[in-house]
Amino acid sequence: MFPRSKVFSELGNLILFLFLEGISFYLIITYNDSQAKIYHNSVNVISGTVANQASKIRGYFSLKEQNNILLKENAKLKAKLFNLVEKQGAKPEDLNLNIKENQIFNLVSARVVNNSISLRNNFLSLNKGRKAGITENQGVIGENGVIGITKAVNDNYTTVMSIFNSQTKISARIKDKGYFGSLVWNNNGDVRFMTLNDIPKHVPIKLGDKVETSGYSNLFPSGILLGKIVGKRIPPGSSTYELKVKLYQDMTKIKFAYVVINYETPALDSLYLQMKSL
Amino acid sequence: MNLALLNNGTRFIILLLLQIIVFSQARIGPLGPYYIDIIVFPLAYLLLPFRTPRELQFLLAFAIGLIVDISMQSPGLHAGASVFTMAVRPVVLRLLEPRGGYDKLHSPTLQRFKWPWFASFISILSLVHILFYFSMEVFTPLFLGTILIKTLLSWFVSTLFIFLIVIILNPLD
Repeated sequence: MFPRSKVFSELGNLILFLFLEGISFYLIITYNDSQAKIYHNSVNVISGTVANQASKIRGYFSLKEQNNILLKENAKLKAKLFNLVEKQGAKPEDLNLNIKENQIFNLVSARVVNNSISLRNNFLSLNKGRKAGITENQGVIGENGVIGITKAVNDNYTTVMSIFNSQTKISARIKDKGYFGSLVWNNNGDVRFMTLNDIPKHVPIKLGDKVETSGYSNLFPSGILLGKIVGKRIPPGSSTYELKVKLYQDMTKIKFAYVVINYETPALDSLYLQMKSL
Repeated sequence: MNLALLNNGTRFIILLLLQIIVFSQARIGPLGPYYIDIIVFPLAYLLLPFRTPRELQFLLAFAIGLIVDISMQSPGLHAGASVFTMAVRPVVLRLLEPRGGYDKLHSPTLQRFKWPWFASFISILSLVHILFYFSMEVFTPLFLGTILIKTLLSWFVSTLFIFLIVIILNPLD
């Protein structure tokens, strides 16, 4: 009787329908502000939850390895503590390590649930957020160096701008010499090396010198070892070195990260604002 | 065939102009956040002849929706709603199918059908369009109440205006 009483009389119709709705949906979430916000927020929550579950399951397979790493780190920390005690002649309980008034930094441990290293601008996700005290613009470190800077935080998840991101700059210095510069990634896709710029060319640099965080940016405590210098050159016409730094941290297989909460940041920020308003 | 092309073409242009120049300018808001959008352009694609190829139906609905979207700065909202409504049209046609079925050469116009049939056809499908439109506009099921209130208000006013247009212009096949 009626030739087109079916909703989709052919597969082609269905495909065309889905295609046109797809375009509409794309337009909606691209060109309408409020819809775009809702969409990205939902995606963030969903993908965060999914990635978190997946990483939980994957976590079981590497429990042994992770245990060993944590044990090693624990041992290192204990050794550090005892050295400190030895040097200063105090007992561990006298050091007041748990009292907030004496504390400048606090660390929040989190699991890395998502990580990219192959893009030009890389990001990671952590499974803790505002509820754990994390806010925007805090440093993130791993066992053997720096991982990145927190960029977006919701209640339960945090997006971290990786050190392998063209916008990341880390204030670093040469260990035992004190000269500082900024450590950047030059987007060449090689995640083993970064570049340390801005060290004046009169400074004697040896290959093998160690690079550590300078502590000038109040994102990271000073003295976190980052890597060692494996190459140096002075670009023609420049007055500063371009140093190739091999990282200690292997960003391709990090599982845990520590977010650095600096209790002095608000005070320093307000001072900085005061200075800017002068 | 040429007559149908001419009629439908004129209808698309007239309804587009009416929608963009007249009705889209008037966003009535007597109830605070629950403003009323008068949406009459769906009439243009709803009156396409039964024999129109399905692909063409979708493309025409998408095109007219997109043009309205561009003029109302709501990219994708009306286009998506129009395509969706077009997908539902055969279902409604089957629900309302008269004894003896449809004549393939006709269009669902007042010229071919009586008021009760035509009124149910238009009101059901304009409800689908407007519901889809406001769902996408609010974009979260959290505000289901808002979606429903806006939809019902706009649907009532829009359908009245569509009937008014039909009475005045009396569209043919």
